[in-house]
Amino acid sequence: MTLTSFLLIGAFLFICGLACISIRRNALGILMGVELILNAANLNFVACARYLPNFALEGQIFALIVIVLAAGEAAIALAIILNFYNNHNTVDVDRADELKG
Amino acid sequence: MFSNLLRDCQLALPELILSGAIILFLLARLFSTVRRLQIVVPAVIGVAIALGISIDSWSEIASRSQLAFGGLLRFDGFGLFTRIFLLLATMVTLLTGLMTGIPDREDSADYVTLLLGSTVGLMFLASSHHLLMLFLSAEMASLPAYALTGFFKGKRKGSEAALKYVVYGSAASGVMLYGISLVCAVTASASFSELQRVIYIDRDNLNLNGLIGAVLIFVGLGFKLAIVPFHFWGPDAFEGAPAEVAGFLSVASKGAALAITARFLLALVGPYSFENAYINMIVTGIVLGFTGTLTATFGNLMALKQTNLKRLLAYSTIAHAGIMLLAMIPLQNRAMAPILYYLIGYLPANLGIFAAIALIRNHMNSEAISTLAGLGTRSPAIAAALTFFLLSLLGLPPLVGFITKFQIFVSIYEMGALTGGLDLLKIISISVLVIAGLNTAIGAGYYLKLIKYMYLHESPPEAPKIPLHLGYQIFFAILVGTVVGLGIMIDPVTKLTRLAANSLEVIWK
Repeated sequence: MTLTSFLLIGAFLFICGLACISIRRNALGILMGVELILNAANLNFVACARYLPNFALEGQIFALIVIVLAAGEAAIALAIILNFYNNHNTVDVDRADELKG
Repeated sequence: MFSNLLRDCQLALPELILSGAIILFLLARLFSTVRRLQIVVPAVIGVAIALGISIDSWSEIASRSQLAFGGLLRFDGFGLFTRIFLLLATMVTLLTGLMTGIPDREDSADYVTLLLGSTVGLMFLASSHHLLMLFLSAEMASLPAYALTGFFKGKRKGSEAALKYVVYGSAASGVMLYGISLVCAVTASASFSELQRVIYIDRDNLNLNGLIGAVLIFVGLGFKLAIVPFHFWGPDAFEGAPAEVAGFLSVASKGAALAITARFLLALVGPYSFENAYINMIVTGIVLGFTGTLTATFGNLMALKQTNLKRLLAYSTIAHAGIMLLAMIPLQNRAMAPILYYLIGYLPANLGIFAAIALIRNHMNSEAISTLAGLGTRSPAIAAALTFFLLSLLGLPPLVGFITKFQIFVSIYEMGALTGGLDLLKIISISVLVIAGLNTAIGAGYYLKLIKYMYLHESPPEAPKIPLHLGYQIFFAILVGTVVGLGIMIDPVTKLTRLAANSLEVIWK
């Protein structure tokens, strides 16, 4: 295994996440796609930390901070999605169509 | 080691004060005696202290750029200027909230905590010198902004705006993070000092990984700036958010995003003598020129047909972001001076307009353009102030909007005229100037339309007068005074912005 193979797995995860964001119409599904992208980046970071000696510490700290941030982001996003559900009785993003123009 | 930490903390004192204030306000809710106090007033005091310290440290920091916290942050005149700008914007937003009663006493602690939290994030964002700090502070600024957009839980439009903002926003920051991870894989470092090695392996070979990474980071920044084609969240978020919050998003969040975009691009291109600087200049010139003109033109054209005031201003914000992006085309330190001037002139005009919209909304319960009809006879003071603000955004002399646009055009022209023999740069600069000039003309279409509504249209029969207490007359008078004053005192302000922009001189290590 080299760094490149990990970067390829990361790229695959990233593309899965992007596809998930653009295809899913359920707000929670989109949030999962975002988590996939964050994890793709995290995989890259820890792989870099393993294979690039100069980046050993930085990469791990990057990954840890991203995990914490992902949790914070999910908390805010879930609260907003719940609030949307209370007002619209749905979490389908296509039904969020009152604002346009 | 310890003395270093102490010195760094001293440099970041304004941010620490705001963070302390946030913790205090969070704890304040625990005590029944203070729970029902209006927290906005102490928050204004906290911001004023941070502002005072920042202005006081000007002479020390502007003359000497330095890295702090192990190279995570960079304190220089540019960052300090942006920081003062952000604190002023927060101050005006808080005062507007005090005036319009958003937030009420019950909500004030939440509102203030979120607003200050976002401000701290933006301040760190503007001083970032490290990709980790860039991502962390961008998130720190965005998360409270998502919540502020949907601050009124029962509003259908507010909840929809917050949903769109948070979904697109988190997707964009995810993409940015992935870009950062690719860049790190190339340079084995996340410091801005190493960024210039990202795109080129050597003179002739592009590094594909690094290039994709840099582009993805630019996409994330572009989303924060709401440039086309990543603008779609902007109008929706602005229309659904309370006008006070929309003003903050359009001024503070744009300002910090511009500052970090400037830092990022300058770090990417590297010092001027670097062997690939010319190629980089042309590439970024085309990329920035294309996205900038597209953004400005699209924003202005879309603004023409809007009927909701906040939505119209959202498109106007997009157009202004486009112009500021164009100002970056020369990609040298001194080209960033007009941007700073532009920002500081944009602040009173735009926040003033949003404050007026919030006032009108309180009395007429609507934010349609038609609410402005007859405002010139009903509430002459507000109408006069709005006229000043709108004309400044349009760029009419002697208001500040004119000189800032003028300086940007001059700096783009100089790039084309002075590079000597590089025809491509000349073509870029001239075509950009023509399109930017046309855009100013399109902008006249909707700014003047609003003024026409205020003075030439009959007010609807049941439309109320909008009372303005003495304190808020002074508030609007100061904003108008700033718009006029900054437009007249060109030399001293230009000197400050030049000093700030020159401090961007790259520190290698």
